Amino acid sequence: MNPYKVLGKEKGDSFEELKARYDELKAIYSEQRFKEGEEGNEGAKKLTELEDAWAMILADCDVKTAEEMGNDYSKVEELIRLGKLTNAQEIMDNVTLRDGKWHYYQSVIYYKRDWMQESKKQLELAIECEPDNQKYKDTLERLVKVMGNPNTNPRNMGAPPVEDPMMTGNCLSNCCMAYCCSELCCSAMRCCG
Amino acid sequence: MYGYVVPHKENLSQQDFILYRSFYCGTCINTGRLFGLLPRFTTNYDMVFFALLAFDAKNEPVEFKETPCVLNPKKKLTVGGGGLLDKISALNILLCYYKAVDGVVDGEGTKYRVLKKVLKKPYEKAKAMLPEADAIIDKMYVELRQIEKDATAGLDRAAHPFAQMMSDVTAHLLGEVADENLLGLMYNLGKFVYLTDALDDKDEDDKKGRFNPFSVVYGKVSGKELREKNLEELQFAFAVISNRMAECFNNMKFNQSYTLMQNIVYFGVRNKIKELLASSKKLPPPKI
Repeated sequence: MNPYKVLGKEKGDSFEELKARYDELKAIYSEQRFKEGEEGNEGAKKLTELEDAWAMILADCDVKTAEEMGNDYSKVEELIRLGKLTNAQEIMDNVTLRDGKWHYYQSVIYYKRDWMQESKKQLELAIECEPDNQKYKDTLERLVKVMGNPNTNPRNMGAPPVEDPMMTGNCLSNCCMAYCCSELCCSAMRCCG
Repeated sequence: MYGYVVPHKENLSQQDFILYRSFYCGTCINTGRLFGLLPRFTTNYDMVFFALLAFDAKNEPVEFKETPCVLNPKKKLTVGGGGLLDKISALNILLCYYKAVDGVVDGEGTKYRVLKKVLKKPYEKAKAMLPEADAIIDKMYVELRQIEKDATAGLDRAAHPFAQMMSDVTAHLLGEVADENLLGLMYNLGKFVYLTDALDDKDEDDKKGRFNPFSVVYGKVSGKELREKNLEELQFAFAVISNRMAECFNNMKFNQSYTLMQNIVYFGVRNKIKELLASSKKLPPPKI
């Protein structure tokens, strides 16, 4: 698959142009996918194709060094959002100047990989580079006080537990209930008799 | 495997206990039916949790029947065999065989040599049933050996092959019902089992000069000293695992055994971590 063709663009086009086209197509397909019948299916398929193509384009773009990248980690951010952590890591590995921002993004990648200890280490390094950065400090505090706290209430992690009657109790509940009720009936009958 | 993933007894309702026992006995009897009497002793609590999770995720019909047992002549309710239970039994045999081989390579006494011999034939059969799972586990042990050889630092890195293997095997066995939350849960479950086992075995590993991820990070101090000096760090290392498990669990939908698995994920795992960090000796085998 030629990922540039999916976007209707050429390989030499600038990153901004590609990104604009990607956003535009994504909006169209995202809406189309909720339509009924064949059209909806087509939209979902196109959207997957687009996401794959976009990940390939991001990986294909020339890897910039930190000097060129400056403060622009949007490509890394984008890859992390798409769940393409290996591609994001590749870009990170090629950056020579490792400042606070670099350590911060590295910590996000580790977090997404469920490597929490490494993530914490990177956040601490980021704070060492930029001691006044409130965002880094808040992130570290959240990591330690919520995710790394042995006393966090497990109910508060992620989506709140569903209070669906079907999901309280196990598949034996009904048998047990039935058994208890019939037992109750039987004893009642015996007493009466 | 190891038997660290267990329900918390004080919070376990009667009906959940019966369901849990049915799955345990069902897996054991099914292993006996497929692989013979001896390999039945490989049945363990970790695999029961996996069986519960697999049945629930696939919404596989659970058939109950009353079966007597050699260890206990009183008939008990057990889960009947079926395609999925067969696969779980086979997976358990694969994991136990590889653990035995690993033990023999590490030069660990006769226990593992006997186990390896007993499981040789069942292993061949299980491998024929699940060739891809076998390849995944084999690959994991190659990576693990490399980590041991390089003495790779960092708990996350050391635990990664085992954790990834749990996630990959689940993805392979359950197919498309295994979404990112289920795989995240299995990844962290694998990590929990690996690191708990490592900390539990630390003194023994140090004595015999074997690799242990905690020794690489904290040096060859005794397990007791390690817990006293680095309690906060250890608590963080294990809390993130249990909290991530809870997070993945809360994002999932369940069909059959919600409260039982909730007990294990919310209380069982945490309780085991508490026990592990408080004890200076090896943990006793659990009894449900």
